[in-house]
Amino acid sequence: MSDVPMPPKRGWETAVANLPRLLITLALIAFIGYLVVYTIYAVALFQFPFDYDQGEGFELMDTVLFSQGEWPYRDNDHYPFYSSNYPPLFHVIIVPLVWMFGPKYWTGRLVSWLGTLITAAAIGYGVQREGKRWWLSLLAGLSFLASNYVYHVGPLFRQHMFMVMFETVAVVYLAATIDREERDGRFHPKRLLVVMLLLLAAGYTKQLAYATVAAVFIFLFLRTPKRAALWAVPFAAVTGLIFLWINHATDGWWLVNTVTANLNPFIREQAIGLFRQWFTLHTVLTVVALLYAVYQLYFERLSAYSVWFVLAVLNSVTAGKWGAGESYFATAIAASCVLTGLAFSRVLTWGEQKGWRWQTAVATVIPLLFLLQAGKMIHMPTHTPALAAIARTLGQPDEVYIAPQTSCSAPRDPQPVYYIDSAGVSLLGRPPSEADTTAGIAISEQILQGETAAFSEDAGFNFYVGRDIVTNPTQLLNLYQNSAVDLSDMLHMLDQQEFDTLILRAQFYPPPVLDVIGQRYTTTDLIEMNGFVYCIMRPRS
Amino acid sequence: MTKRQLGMLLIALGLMGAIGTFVVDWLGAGQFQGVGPAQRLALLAAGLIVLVGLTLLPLGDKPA
Repeated sequence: MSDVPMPPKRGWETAVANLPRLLITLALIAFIGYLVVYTIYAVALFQFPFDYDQGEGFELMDTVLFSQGEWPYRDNDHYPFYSSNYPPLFHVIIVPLVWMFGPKYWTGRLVSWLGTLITAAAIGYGVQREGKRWWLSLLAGLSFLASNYVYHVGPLFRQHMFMVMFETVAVVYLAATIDREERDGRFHPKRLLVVMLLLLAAGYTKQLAYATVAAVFIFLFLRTPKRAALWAVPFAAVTGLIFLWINHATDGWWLVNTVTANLNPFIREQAIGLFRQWFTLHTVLTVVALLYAVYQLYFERLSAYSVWFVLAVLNSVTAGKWGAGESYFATAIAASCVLTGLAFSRVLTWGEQKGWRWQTAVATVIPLLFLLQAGKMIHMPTHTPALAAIARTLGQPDEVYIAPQTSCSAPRDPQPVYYIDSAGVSLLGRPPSEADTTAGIAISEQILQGETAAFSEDAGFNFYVGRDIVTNPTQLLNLYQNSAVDLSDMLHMLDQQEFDTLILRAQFYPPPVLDVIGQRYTTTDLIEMNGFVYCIMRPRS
Repeated sequence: MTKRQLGMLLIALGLMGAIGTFVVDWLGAGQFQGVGPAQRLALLAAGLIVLVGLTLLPLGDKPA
């Protein structure tokens, strides 16, 4: 903190000059605290052997198929009615871990969590490269990890945050490359090639990266239009050739499962609600980033970060699609963290030039704003006495009462949940407990009472007992809504009661499937896990 | 690219966006009679883009 103000040695001036140092220390403590909380949650998830978020098990299944040299883009019309709607890169990267340790949930959760740490490091590097203030760079990087949304999704076996990692590293490296080119007075095509490869990796991790790809090419177009066009042609060609190769290798199932199945209905209220929540939770980061982008638009050149931020915010509207959610804001949050760090750095430099009083004022306000942001994003588990005591000290409750989610059983009374969250306590964020693991094992043992694999909305139970993974329910629903699946075989098997165990969590299956389940199967057991009541069903006699 | 060129580009994009919201109706994709809620939102966004574009025009040849 050598850049904090050093005043003339008079009593009150010394006291005031120490204020920024104190506030910076407090802000660092707050955000390092969030990192500790994030790590507690991540470690709890690494130890939990079942689905925490619906869909994790299917990403594990994709990885298993890749580890066996098979594509996960398949014909959904026939047993096991399984296919994936995500690009391959995240799963391919995890394959060596599955070869070494088997199909374990912690493999993908660990890789995704490490990806978020790399993203935070990239944000910090992007700020440090221009600002040269370690505490500000650290706060910018930690702000990303402290976001409620990043916390919820970061340590899950989901590819989204790995895409954000590639996007962030690409844009930070692009900014560094352009700066270097302008300093050297010549192009560095090899460095720009690295940016293109990172963008390609982001796109083949998740389709949503198209917004960052657009941002990069728009930025290049603003600087040197001809160069942008020259790079866009081979980039589009390589992207298209890979697409065609996978589509050819999978007999066209790649197109059906990753494009057709993603044409989901847009729910306007969901988009508006999420935008409102995102802004409420990330007010300081968003407002500062927006002001800095506007400043650049009118008073200097637009940076890659500003273009990226605007495109990412606009693209966040896709969070309103059915099946999408808060994680769709993660790219905008990453961009806002970089821009906020850079904006504060500029203001600090300005303050230094204006003299001691301005320098002190600016260095006081900035950590205060970080503390304000920390307060808006509050979230932490409270399942240990120490964490509960910290929550109470911060004026928060140490438990909240939430009713478990039911879809196939009667509503239940609210129960204590040892987790608090300014985003509202929902399904993600609370660390899974020993009781959740015991419940998962109990559900899995229900499968062992029969001979077949379970027709299950979660893959984890079949994985646990070593049986086939049957169906990917949300994928089937997406395809059904786009008239791209023939359910005849599945309906016949269910009608003939060829599955001796069914496990429902949220009834995501297409309506005709739920209809035949209701006619031919009956609920025998209800087991609660992770705040959901799972319905175990058996054939009606 | 200059600020003025960026401004003109944004004005063109905004106008195309505004026209596009009505083309959607012409193609029969809209769900509402007249101007629907999504169209209103899109028109507002298009108007904002045009406005930003207009404010960039006086900045002339400064690099964008």
